[in-house]
Amino acid sequence: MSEREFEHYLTLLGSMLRLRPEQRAEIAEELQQHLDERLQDLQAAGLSREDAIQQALAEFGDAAGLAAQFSSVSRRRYRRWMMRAATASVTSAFMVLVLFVSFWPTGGRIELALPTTAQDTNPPASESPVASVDPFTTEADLPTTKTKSTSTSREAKNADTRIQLETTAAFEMQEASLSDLSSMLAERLQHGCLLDHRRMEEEGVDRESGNLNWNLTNASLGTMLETLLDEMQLTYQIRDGILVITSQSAADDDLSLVIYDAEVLFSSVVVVVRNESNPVEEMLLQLVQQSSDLGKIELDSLQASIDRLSEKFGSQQARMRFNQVADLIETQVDPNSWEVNGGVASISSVGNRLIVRQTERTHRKIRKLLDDLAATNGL
Amino acid sequence: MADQIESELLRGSMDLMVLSVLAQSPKYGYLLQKALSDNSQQQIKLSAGTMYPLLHRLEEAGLVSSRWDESTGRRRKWYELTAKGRKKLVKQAELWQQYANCINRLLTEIKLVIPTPATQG
Repeated sequence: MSEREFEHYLTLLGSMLRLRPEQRAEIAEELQQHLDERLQDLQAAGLSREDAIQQALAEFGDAAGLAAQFSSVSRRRYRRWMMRAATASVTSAFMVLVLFVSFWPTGGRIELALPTTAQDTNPPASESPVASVDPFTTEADLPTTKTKSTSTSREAKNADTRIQLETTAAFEMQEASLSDLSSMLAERLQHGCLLDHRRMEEEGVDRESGNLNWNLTNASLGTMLETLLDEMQLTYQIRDGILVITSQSAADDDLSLVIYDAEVLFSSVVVVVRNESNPVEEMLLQLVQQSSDLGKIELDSLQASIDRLSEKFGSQQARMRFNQVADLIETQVDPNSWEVNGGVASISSVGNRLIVRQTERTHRKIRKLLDDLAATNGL
Repeated sequence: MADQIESELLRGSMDLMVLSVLAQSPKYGYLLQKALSDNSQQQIKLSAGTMYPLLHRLEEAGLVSSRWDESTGRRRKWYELTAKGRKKLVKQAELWQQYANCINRLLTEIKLVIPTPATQG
């Protein structure tokens, strides 16, 4: 009989503690000290070493009960993270929503989106001074957003979550574990948050692990997540609107297809003609309707603008720009992941759309790149 | 009277007891356990399995603070009352006194109502 019994006990206890390794070690050391001193005292009082060990351990009670008590203390601690949404986050959420809605398909065969800057809170289209600035030639006010999504309900949910991740808020988090982060997100995201336990465990990451600290007040939820998760070789994916935290290696095996309507990059006005039947007339009609408030549109000048526009979209130049964007993405965003460089991801284009098969993490980077390009009038 | 005060009663007042013992001086777990036992004429024996989670909980609540120290020749985790803990102790002690007085009065009345064998005989 030896003090190995203590070690066994403490190891057993440690294995049941749902805490971070440092905390387990600290508790183990504290209890070890106690057991050692108790052992000395009991022996000094005349007990045999064996009896003393047994008694010292008995006084602690069963390891499982003790572990449960420690863990419950610790859970309370982690819940103390605080999050205060800054006033700005409400505003920016609204902005993003406005921008997003403005690019939502309108149901007709013709989609028209007018210049919208980040400062412009007016809903675009109907109220914008269309005719007075002649949008077809104005390139100064490129839209700051956004690649448009198709409007399936799943995609709409995903978009909800993405928008919520873009909100800027002041967060404070101290020594939070992954499950704390997850419950914080679950409260904050409309469609919820899950931890992909199985994939995380394959990577040796436990839900109670993590020592997540955050106190930047100007970052978006998405930035915070990327940063915190990256430290632990984790990342997130969005499935049916649900934010799923998983391991990077699992996510890397999971390619998803995203169609980017990249034409927002090329013009301050986006006109997608989906049906060849009389597009000019329909455009004309729509423009007249939209500018009727102004009352002084000359049909000739409209016709001329539309001609110029059609020419532009028909031109070889537009094609070249798409290729440029594809090249740019392949060289600037995770270069080694692309087929051309020996990876598995691929990029191709159909009409004015880029079809990209990539991991979600890389998709996020692509989105950011396209947004940045649009915002800086880069093309 | 029982050698040890009943556990149910104990449970509600454990925080108070630990805080009051720490109010005298900083202590590590084992020392605190002994002090508690000594100060209560061995009537109160707080088991280690109860005491450590309790200490961690008090620390979490900001009522005590801890630090590792080796100046006593052995590396130990010392606990100390914080200002917040002291305030809490004073307040809780008051409440406890009121409660105890109240119970005392009730029990005195019971003594009056129930005749003792001595008065019967």
